[in-house]
Amino acid sequence: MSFNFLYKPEILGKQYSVKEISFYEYKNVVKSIIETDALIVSEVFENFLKFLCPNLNNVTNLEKFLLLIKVRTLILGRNVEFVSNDVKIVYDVNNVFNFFNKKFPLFEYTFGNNNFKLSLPTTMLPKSDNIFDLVLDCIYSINDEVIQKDEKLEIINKLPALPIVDIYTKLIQYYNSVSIKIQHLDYTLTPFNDSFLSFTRSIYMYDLKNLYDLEYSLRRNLNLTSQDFNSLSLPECEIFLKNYQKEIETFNNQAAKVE
Amino acid sequence: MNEQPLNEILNKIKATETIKIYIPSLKADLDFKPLTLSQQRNIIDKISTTGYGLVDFFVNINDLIKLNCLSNFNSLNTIDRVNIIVSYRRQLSQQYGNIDLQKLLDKNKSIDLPDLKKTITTDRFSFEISAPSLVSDSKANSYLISTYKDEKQLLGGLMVNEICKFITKITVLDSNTEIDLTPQPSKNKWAIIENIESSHLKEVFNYINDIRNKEEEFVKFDDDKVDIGPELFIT
Repeated sequence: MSFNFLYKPEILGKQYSVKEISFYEYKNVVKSIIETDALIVSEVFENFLKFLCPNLNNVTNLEKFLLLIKVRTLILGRNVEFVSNDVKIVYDVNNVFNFFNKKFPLFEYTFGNNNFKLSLPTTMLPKSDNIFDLVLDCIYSINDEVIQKDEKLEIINKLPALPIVDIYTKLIQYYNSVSIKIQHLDYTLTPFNDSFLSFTRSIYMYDLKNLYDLEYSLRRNLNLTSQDFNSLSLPECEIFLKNYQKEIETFNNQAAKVE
Repeated sequence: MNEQPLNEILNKIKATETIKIYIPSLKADLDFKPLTLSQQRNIIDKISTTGYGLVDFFVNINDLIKLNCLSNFNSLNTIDRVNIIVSYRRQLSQQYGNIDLQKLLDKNKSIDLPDLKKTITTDRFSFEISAPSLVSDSKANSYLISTYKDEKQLLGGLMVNEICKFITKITVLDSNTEIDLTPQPSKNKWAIIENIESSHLKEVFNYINDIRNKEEEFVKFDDDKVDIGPELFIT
């Protein structure tokens, strides 16, 4: 029997099934986000999300952001360390999660005979330099019919022209409250720019050297194989190493007593 | 809300089937398909700050009008185009700065047009000229864009291009030779026009100015004016 553990966090009132990430997979994410180009980092996280939740469909960047925070707390815990003005700040990422994890009604706009419901952008890196693409990305439903992402291109051929600037201005105003300023860091998180992406990148960063050291210790002392690293998560690997270190310590203490 | 096949969704989008647009040269309304979101996007995507921007915009708008006009496209000219553009902009929003576009469109119905065809004779030539059709306008502008890649050259080219759009036939009076420019490729038209002394073209320029000034009337309301260009569709 093959059984894979699925984590089921509840985000904005919806339950998601999230795969557990292995040590190797996490190591690859860390390697990939060393890159600083926002477009590449956003692709990394979009692909990572597809891997974590293959059935993820028609979700906003807020839902993606919250999912990634949840997964991060599973791998590395809830605390994240930032250095601001030479001061080390330990921040609980659950503050961000709890702030954003609240349902809100969608923005509605009526033009001509059509009623549009607009949600938040769907991509981790919103198309903020092109308001046309941004508005289109945010269209959730037209006349109560939910529009799938791959249908949007076909639909704009049929849709009448729209007062895009007016929609964009009102959309931004409406979702103005969906943003939080992390005071200690003087950093504002909002779904309409790359702040979700930058924050996600910073909370997923991990010292690669530590990962290699951990892998080496477990291979050297516990004979773990590549297959093991592909099935064990980082927290599990850390537990193994801690238990091994405890064993060694106990062994050394006993040996000292005998001497 | 439930997920439905795309066709059903498309059927539920309540798009107006046709809109009526007043065509000054015909003194009548013609049926047009409404501007779609993708057409609006294409216009906006091509916003450019170069000298080609407006020329390119007119080529795109002519293509769009051809696609959306349900009859008589070949009879439309550049004066009609101004009213079509304002009508499409009205579809998006009635207000443009201080201008109520509906009032502007209503006012435009009472504008009298000058002769749309004319013959001008000098001591050596006779020119048959007319307000350019959208077909000849596109042809000339496309040639201009593809030939003059350098913006500095473009300015000089614009003048010859304007004349090429307006002159349909030249008669050389000495030899009584008629040259029909309409079927000529743009390259030949340019070569012919560039060989005519400017002094013979003075009246042609005056006619061009008359037509362009008339086009301006269609965007003016009191002391305000609608700026024609791709930015008009960002609202």
